[in-house]
Amino acid sequence: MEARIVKERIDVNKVIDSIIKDTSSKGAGALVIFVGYVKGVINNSRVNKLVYTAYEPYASKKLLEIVNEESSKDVYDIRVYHRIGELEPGEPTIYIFVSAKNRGIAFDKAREILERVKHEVPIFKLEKREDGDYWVIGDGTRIKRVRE
Amino acid sequence: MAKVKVKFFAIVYDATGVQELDIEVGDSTKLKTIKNLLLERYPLLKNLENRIPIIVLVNGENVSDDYTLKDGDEIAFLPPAAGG
Repeated sequence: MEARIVKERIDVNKVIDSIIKDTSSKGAGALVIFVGYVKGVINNSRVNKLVYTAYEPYASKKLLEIVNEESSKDVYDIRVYHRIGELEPGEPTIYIFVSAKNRGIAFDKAREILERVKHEVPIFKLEKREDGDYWVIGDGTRIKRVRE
Repeated sequence: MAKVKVKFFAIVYDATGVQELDIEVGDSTKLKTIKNLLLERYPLLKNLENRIPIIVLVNGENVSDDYTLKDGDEIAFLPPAAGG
């Protein structure tokens, strides 16, 4: 299990190899990976970058808490990495890896973890677009920034 | 007397114009007293509160408005999380 706030990209293949090596002998047979990345267009407006910030150390603490709480029977490994900093379109923002006994469990668990991370971890997002800067609030409300 | 730190994040920081400040509070001061003080001091914060829910944490935890502040507490004002 691992959960971290990171600045750099993750080497996905390295994580896959590590998880499979650690879990195949224990009965795992499925690994689901979710990668979120920065959209290049929102509401017909070009996105220049997203700026992610986190309230530390509580963001890291909450991330780890979610991973620990979501660990259960037939789930063999969970790793979550959320990026912060300035990310351009196409850049990965979040990675979720779930290894489980079968695909159904792995897909369900990955979805559940993603929803919890989006709603519970104090991470904030500023969208810098060609039509201005917008704060993204919660699940997608956008408020145009008035202060630079 | 107790000294507490207050931090503002993201759009809440835009509303106050300050990232953090230290406040000296008397013994037995409740969280709600500080919240009301800051809402009065920063009118834009009050406006923002009418538009979005503002989350207030003490040392990273949700506590009640009747929480009694202690020396060294960190109060954070945040918008709803927007990770992912």
